[in-house]
Amino acid sequence: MTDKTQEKLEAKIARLEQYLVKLKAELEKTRLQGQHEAIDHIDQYLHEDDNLISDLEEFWEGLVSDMREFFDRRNKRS
Amino acid sequence: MESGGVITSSGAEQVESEKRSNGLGHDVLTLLNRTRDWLLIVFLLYLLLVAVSMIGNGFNMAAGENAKDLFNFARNPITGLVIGTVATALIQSSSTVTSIIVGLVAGGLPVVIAIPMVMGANIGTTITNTIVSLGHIRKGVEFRRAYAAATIHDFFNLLSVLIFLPLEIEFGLLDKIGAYLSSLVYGGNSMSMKSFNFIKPLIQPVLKTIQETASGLLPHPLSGIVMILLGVTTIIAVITVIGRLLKVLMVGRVKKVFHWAVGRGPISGITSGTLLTILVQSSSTTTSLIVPLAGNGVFSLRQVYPFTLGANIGTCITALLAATAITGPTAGVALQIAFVHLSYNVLGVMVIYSIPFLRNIPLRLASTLAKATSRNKIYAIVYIGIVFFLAPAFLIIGSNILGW
Repeated sequence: MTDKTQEKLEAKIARLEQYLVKLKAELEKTRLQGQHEAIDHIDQYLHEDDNLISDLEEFWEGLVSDMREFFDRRNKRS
Repeated sequence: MESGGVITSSGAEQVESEKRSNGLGHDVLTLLNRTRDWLLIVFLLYLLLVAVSMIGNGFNMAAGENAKDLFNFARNPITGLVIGTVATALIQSSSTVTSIIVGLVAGGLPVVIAIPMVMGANIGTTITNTIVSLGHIRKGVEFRRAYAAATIHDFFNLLSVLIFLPLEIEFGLLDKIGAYLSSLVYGGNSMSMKSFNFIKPLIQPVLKTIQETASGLLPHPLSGIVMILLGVTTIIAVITVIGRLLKVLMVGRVKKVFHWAVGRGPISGITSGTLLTILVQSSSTTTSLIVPLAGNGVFSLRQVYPFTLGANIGTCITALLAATAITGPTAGVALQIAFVHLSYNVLGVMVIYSIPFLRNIPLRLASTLAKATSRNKIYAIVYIGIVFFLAPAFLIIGSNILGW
């Protein structure tokens, strides 16, 4: 490999690295923006711990359906 | 045209003025409502202090010098741990349980028996946000993230007990730290709390009236038992209502604290978790707020982890406040147990979070359990069964065999 090709490649890597840093910064900025937006709407989650019965009901339904699926599969196999 | 123009102009002014006065009326009404709510909170805090003292005095009235013997059934530290866990899981508030414990210590519960109960309160409180996360069950990836964010708090508190309970049993570590901190406040020097306890004159008249009424109406020891029950019921009701009021009143500040913490690293996360919990007076509210934020992927598990640890520290403020209500010879031990609660949580965060190996244990366990549970919900039942039923039963039997 000639010195010129090597220089060219090094320059290209440096550019790509710079671009990567820029992209990472942009990603972090977007992520932070999303987090701030979610915090602005935090009111909707403020009463999450007041609905525990409905949360348990939801879970119970999911559990029953999982169990049914499990036993159906077992029955089919046997 | 000219007069029409004048009429239109004055009409617009009138509408504008009505709008302004309506806006002003609304502002005044909001201010009045907020003032009423804050006054109600002050009154409820006063009730909390009275209720904590009622428990202590009730025990003195009912059992006198024998109060210590009443708690012999919880001498086994694992039994104490289970009592704290179950009581908190049922009442859904560690602040309530620790405030009751402060009252019990003032009434004669030995601090060494109360310490495992306080540790159990930490574990019991985690069940609330775990249930909140179960509400996301039908949402696949969202459930996995929410469940991991909830159970990381469980695993942290379990690990903390695994580290500090043996140290407490063997060396009385927390007992000594609590006693030292309490002696700084209630020590013999002139700057002690004894010389400027302003709580006593505030609560004593009401407490005395309740005590005299109970003694007059009911025979001994029933009067004391009624005082204890009334104290416990009042604490539960007061902390529930305060929590609900603060949630509404503090929403703006909660947002500010969250905004401040975003993108600043784990120390800020712990600090903001502490501040949020102090603001809403409930670690369950703080951790339950975090669950949906983690569930929708806005915050990663690593980012919510410090917030939950801060919630553990912030919740100690209620017990400290409750301890200020206790006066007389048991004031020192009441403050000691409140300081034990604080030092246990601060040390837990310092030790576990600062050592990478320990820090990663709750992260790994929560992620693994969440993955398994999102595949099959039965794992959630297995987990609750092991942590809250099988393991405590096994430990109680084992420790009794070992003669602890």
